[in-house]
Parts: sequence; C-alpha cells; structure tokens
Amino acid sequence: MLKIENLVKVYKDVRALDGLSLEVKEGQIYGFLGPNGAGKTTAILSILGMIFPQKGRIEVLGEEVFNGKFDEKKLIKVKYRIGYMPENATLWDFLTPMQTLDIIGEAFKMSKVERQKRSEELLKLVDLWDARNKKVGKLSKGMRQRLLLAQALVNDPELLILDEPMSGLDPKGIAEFKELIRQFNKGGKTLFFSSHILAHVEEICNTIGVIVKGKLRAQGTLNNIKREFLRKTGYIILIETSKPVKIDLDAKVEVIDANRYKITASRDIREELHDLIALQGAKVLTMQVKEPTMEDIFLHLISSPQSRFSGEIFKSFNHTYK
Amino acid sequence: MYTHVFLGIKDTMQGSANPKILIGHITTSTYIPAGILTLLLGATSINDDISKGTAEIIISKPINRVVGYFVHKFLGQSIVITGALITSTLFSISIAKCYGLHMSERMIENVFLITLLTLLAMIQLLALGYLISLIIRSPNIALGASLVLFLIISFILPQIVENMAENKAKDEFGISGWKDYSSMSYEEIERYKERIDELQREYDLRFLFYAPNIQLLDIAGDLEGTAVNNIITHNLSRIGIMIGLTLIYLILGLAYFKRMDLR
Ligand SMILES: Nc1ncnc2c1ncn2[C@@H]1O[C@H](COP(=O)(O)OP(=O)(O)O)[C@@H](O)[C@H]1O
Ligand SMILES: [Mg+2]
Repeated sequence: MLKIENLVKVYKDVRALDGLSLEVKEGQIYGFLGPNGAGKTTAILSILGMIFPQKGRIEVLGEEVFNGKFDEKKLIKVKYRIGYMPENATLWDFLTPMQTLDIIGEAFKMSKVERQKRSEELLKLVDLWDARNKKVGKLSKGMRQRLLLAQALVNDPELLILDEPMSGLDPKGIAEFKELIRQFNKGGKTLFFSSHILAHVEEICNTIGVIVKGKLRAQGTLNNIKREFLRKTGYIILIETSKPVKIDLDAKVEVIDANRYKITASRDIREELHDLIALQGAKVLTMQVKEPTMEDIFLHLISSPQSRFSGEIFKSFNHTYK
Repeated sequence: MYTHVFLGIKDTMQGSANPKILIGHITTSTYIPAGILTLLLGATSINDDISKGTAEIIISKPINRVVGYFVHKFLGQSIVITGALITSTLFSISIAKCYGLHMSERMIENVFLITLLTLLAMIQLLALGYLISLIIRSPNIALGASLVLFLIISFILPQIVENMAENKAKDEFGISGWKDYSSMSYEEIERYKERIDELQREYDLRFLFYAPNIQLLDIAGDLEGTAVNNIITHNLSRIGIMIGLTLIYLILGLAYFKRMDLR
C-alpha cells in the first residue's frame, strides 16, 4: 500500500530524513509517531511530491512514484486514490464549505452531479451541513479542521494520509475524530497518520511506526513493540538511595530527583545495583521493578542514543521487508 | 483611472488634445498605481499559498504542479488584469465622449495601443512578481521588497540614466557651466536638446530595458497622431524587449518552481 525505503531529505542544513524506511499495509490504521522535528511532515510531503528528497524509494498503491526522482505521471495517477489532510493549513476564506468541496471535486474531474452528491454526503458526515453556506473564514477552528478532513475525502480515497490531525482539538473533538477514523477504516480503507502524542495513536492504531531524527526506530503492533521491548531492553527499575550515588552499569540511568533513579536495562541487574550502591557507602531504601507502559517505551525510543541500543527493536521488525 | 486625465486635458486644451501629452499622462497615471498593485499581486502569489497551506491542498490533488497550478494561476491573474485595464479604458473613453471631448479615430486607436502596451507592461511586472514570490518565502517581506524594487526600477534608476544622458550631451557640446549656455545660439541649444533626447532613448533601451514604464513612455513619445502600425514598426525593439523579458521571467520562474520544495 505504502512503502518507503531509505529516504533521505536534507534541507539546507538539516538532515530531516536520514534513511527512513517504513511499510503500511492495506487496511491498517498506521500511527506515525515521533517527537516534533523528527521528520514526519517531511516524509508525508515527500510521498505527495511536494518536496524533493535526495535519495530513496517510495511506492504508493503499487506505483513506484519516487526512485531518486519523481515519476510525475505515476504521481498524478496515484493522487486520484489518495486523500491528504495537511497540518496547519487554511482553506480559501472567501469560499463556503460547499464551494470548497466542489472545487476539490473538479480537481478530481468529477461531474457536477457527482460533486454535488459527494459534497452533501461529506458535509453531513463531518457535521458541517448547517454551516455549508457560511464563509470558511467565519468558521471556528474545529469546523475548519473538519472541513480540512472533508476535502481529503472527496475522492473516496483508498489511502488517507493525515498530518497531525488531532493537534489543537479539544478532548471531545479528539474522540469524534477517532470515531471518524474508525468508520473510515471499517470500509477497508487504509489510514496513515502522524502525531507527536502517544495518546492520539495508542488506542486507535493497529500499527505504529516510531520515527526519531529521520529514522524509523520501531514498527509493528503495540503488543509486538511492547513484547520486543520487554525481551530486549525491558527492565525498568526504580530505586531510592540514602544518598546520591553514581551508577556505572550497562544501563540507561535517569535521575528523577535527589536520590531517586529510573534505570532501563536489558536484563535483571538488581543484584549488581545493590552491590554497586553498597560499595559507595549508601543504602537502597526502595527498589521496584516497573511494568513498562507504552509511554515508557516511546520515551525510551526517542531519548536513547542509537549506538547503545543499536535499533534492536527496529531491526526485529525490519527484517520482514529488508 | 484615465477619466481625470481626459477631463484635465479637456479643461486646459478645450478639446484639441495633443495626443502625445495625453498618452504620456495616461501612461504614468495608470502605470504607477496599476503597476504597484500588479507587482504586489505577483510577489505574494506562490509564497502566500505555501505559507497558508493552500498550495499543499492543491498539489495533493491530481494536478500537474507546473501547468495545473503555476501556469493556470498566472493566466488567471493575467486575465483579471486584462479585464480591469480594458474596462477602465472603455469607461474613460465613454466618459470623455459624454463630456464632449473630441477624439479622432486615430487617437482612440492610439489610446488602445497604449492600453495594450500597458497591459504588456503589467504582465511583465506580474511575471517579475512571481519570481520574487518564489525567491522570498515570507509574503510580507516580499511585499516590502517589491515596493522598494518598484521605486528603484521606475524612478531611481531612470533618474540616474537621465543624468548620464545629459552629462554625455554636455560633454559632446563642451558645456561645463552656466555661462556656456549663454554663449550658445538658439539652433545650437535646439540641437543640444535633441541630442539629449536621442541619447536618452538609446540609454533607455540599453540600461533600462527592465523598466517597462520607461519603454512605454518612449513609445508614447512617438505618438503625435501617428498610425498604429507605424508606431509598432518604429518601436519593435522596445516591444520585443517587453515581451522577451516577460518570457524570460516566466521561464526562470517555471524552471525554479518545477524543482522547488513547497514548504
Ligand atoms: N524548509 C525547511 N528548511 C530547513 N529545515 C526545515 C524545513 N522544514 C523543516 N525543516 C526541519 O526538518 C526537520 C523535520 O521537520 P518536520 O518534518 O516538520 O518534522 P515533524 O513533522 O516531525 O515535526 C526539523 O528539524 C525542521 O526544523
Ligand atoms: Mg509536522
């Protein structure tokens, strides 16, 4: 459905995509998760031919649209089957929602009757029917966001790409949005959407890909990622000591506050910890092994230096298509 | 836009308008406001779409970025400008007629020729504006920059070139101070003035080819009730430069836009 291989994009002085690879399969709700500046928008804009990557390959809906350079013909062909909702875009303020969708329908060479029918359907779907003849400039932020979604659905796309669709929405808006996404997916459609907030993708996506600094660090179902994390790096140990200590072990150590530490290690190092702390003349006041949450895993992925963990998680999911 | 010019002419000349002066007035009184508007329109065309995100919406649809977006947008704006210019010309002529200003057919022809050439100038400015909007990403900075550029191209550089022409003529006639003028005969002064004129037209072509208002004025200088095709043949190089430069701006813009990151 969508396959990106070793994509590299360097803006003047920023390496935004550093050999990104990922694969979205038909029918998936794929959450493209990564901190701000990780390269999510860059990847999405590359798929659409908005920006020019320097290297790599992109295959969408069975067409190789990019291999070092864009194939303009294939790109246009494929765009008939893609829907895209940008991050932070405004539509034409002087048009009404009805006119906006009509113009978008024209871009897809739909007939007047088809456009009319589709616009009505969509405006009802995104709950803008009552506002259909107001100027877009006069609509609320939430309404404009829904119109932005509607314009992505005009061509009834097989693949829907959404860039941070839920940022800026209130909790109610987010819940409604998730419901829309579910409905869309029920029809067998594929969704690819980005977010920097785990909670936005956690319950709704069946597959997630974690992008950090232009590289994919993990990909798979939530369960797979969690299991893999537990197997490879999954020991989270919280300790409290009687005085500050130096923990010099093969593990990632975060100082929570004065004498409390969060340690992420690839195996059970509780005994070694005891010895090490005793050696420094301190006492272990509490020690607790914590069940990692998805949040822990996400934080671990985005903060750990790549050399230390050498993309273990990524590798294990990656072999299927490499 | 022309109306006040016609009325002014009517008052001062009681209907026997000198086409040269008339056309000169039209050229500047239309050119400056319309030219600024056009350049600003062009200078915020693409960058504004990019910063608002409408470019993203358009390009995500099955539309060719060069033909379907860039060329269409340019043509659309050109048509609007054409419509506005022709409407205002027709409107002015009919108003002038209402007020009883006598206009010969030749003069009406000349007015239309100038309208057409003004249009050419506007489209050149629009193309230049597009280039600016591609190079300067912020629409606001592009607005400021194009205003400054307009002032430089339309007024400052022409002033410098005018001085150059005058100095060259002075050199040729051996004029260095005021007293040299007093020793010149009437005919000599006439010849001196003609020489300045000649030099200036030559320099305009050489140093101010990118300033459409100057080309317009030079062409208007030829009008004096001459037939349209004579004017055109006499000014082929100026008209050619205006068209050629427009094409060059457009081709440069297209080549750049074709490979440009739209973000
Ligand atoms: N036009 C640009 N010029 C230079 N750097 C850019 C440009 N656009 C984005 N970047 C940089 O590229 C990186 C990735 O940005 P982006 O793809 O927007 O990340 P995300 O969408 O994940 O927040 C960031 O460091 C950003 O600052
Ligand atoms: Mg982004």
